[in-house]
Amino acid sequence: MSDDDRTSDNDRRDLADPMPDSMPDDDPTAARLRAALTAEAAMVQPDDSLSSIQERTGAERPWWQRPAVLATAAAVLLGLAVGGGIALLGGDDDPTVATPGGKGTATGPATTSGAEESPSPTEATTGTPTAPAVEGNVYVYYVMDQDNGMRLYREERPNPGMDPVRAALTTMFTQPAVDPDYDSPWPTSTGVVGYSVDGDTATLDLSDFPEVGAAAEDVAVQQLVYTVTANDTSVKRVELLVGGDTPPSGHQDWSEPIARSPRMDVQGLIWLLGPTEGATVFSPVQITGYGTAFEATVNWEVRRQGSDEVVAEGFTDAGANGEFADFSDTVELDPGTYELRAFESSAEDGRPLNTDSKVFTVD
Amino acid sequence: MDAARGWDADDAVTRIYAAHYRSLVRLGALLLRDTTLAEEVAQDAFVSMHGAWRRLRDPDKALAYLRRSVVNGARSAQRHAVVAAKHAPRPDPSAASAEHGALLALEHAEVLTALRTLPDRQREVLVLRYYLDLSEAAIADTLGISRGSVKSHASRGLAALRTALEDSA
Repeated sequence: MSDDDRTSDNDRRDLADPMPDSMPDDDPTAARLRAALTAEAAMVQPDDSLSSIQERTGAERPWWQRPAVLATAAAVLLGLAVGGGIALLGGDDDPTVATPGGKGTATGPATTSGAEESPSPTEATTGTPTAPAVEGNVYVYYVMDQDNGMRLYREERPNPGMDPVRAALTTMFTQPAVDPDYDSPWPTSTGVVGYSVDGDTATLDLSDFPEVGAAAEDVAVQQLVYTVTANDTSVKRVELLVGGDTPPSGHQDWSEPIARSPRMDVQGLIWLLGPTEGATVFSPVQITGYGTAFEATVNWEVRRQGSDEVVAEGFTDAGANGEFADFSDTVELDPGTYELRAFESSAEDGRPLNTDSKVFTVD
Repeated sequence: MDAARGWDADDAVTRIYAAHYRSLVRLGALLLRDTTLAEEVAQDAFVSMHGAWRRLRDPDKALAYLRRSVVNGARSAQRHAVVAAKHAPRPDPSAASAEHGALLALEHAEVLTALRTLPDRQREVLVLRYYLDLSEAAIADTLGISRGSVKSHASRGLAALRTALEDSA
């Protein structure tokens, strides 16, 4: 092998390399190998996978910066702005209320500790928002974009020991969602300057306001209103101030107290609540969620993380015709890390709609 | 590379993906002889690189990290018995090429088949050298071995390849 110890031409190597390479290029075997590798490599034409990598790193481009999204969402939200006034009539728009007629239960929402499944569902009466399933936790809303516009998704997060509304808002402004698919348009510099409640109206003074497009701003405000009203159930409307003044919006007048927009218009239509993102669970795995779908049918699929192969799938019933309801199912899985997706199949072409996904580990 | 200082991990993934994803998949595919598996290995490498970007902070270092991840990922994928069973070997390349009547393809298949008989390290060194054109120093860095080891793996690998090709000729 010492006969290979010749200096070869280095021009394609590191120019800064002070030591000459000693690997042969003029050797006939090396030349054959180079030709074979080059030809073989040229036959490898990988599919574009940037988006699936980004999905795994949680790096999808913020939705409010994507022009295509803004166009779609603007159309959806135009309707929302018109219809927004009817929000809390009847008082049963709370996301934790499962069905009409008082027989529904609230979902056991996501826990962030991830050690086990959500606790069993909490009893709820129609029209009365429920407290988070784990005492001391708060509900925080985040945003994910879907075919039908930007939608609100909820996480249950620990309260560091503040008033629940302040705790939830501080988390919402400063902490990313546990689920990397979720996002928030609020600047992380935003803080709660003041919060007071008079009757069913809260006055909330913030230090900052999102500088985003009209549609994203609308969703951001609803994200705020949903979060406040979920954590202080006596509040139905939020008067929003920024630095003591009306919010500096270039799009809309926010001087009047703002109520929740109808759930069908702003909320994610399928929420996957258990297992929570990053949770470690045991088989059989309990799948829980909350939502509405065509003919109530929510489909679910399980893949090993990073793989496209579906290892388990099924469907179950949620709400239909604009009613939201709990759904649940179970699946047996070997130990490993999985991605669970819950979605509605498009009645037109079967493609998945309103997908929510969670990555979790089975011990 | 000053511009890269402003990159966050997401930017790094996007930009380095654009420039190098294909060559990283090809590197994996040459080691594994399985494109699907190579794609998975390359994607895993990008996900790890995203997590390590804060430490790397430099596209060249990130690329070296990605190559290292692909080589290591290809190794462990290859060892995985389940994987081996699931990803059946591709059809005999010489049969496929004979169909096309391409003598050149037959020649390539012969070389690649011989390459497959080499020990891991020798094969890795040869692929990094003769596909990616890496310098000895870069190969040493990628594999985490000394330049002296790179030299000896390369020369042994080439010698073994030569012998295998002579035998089959």
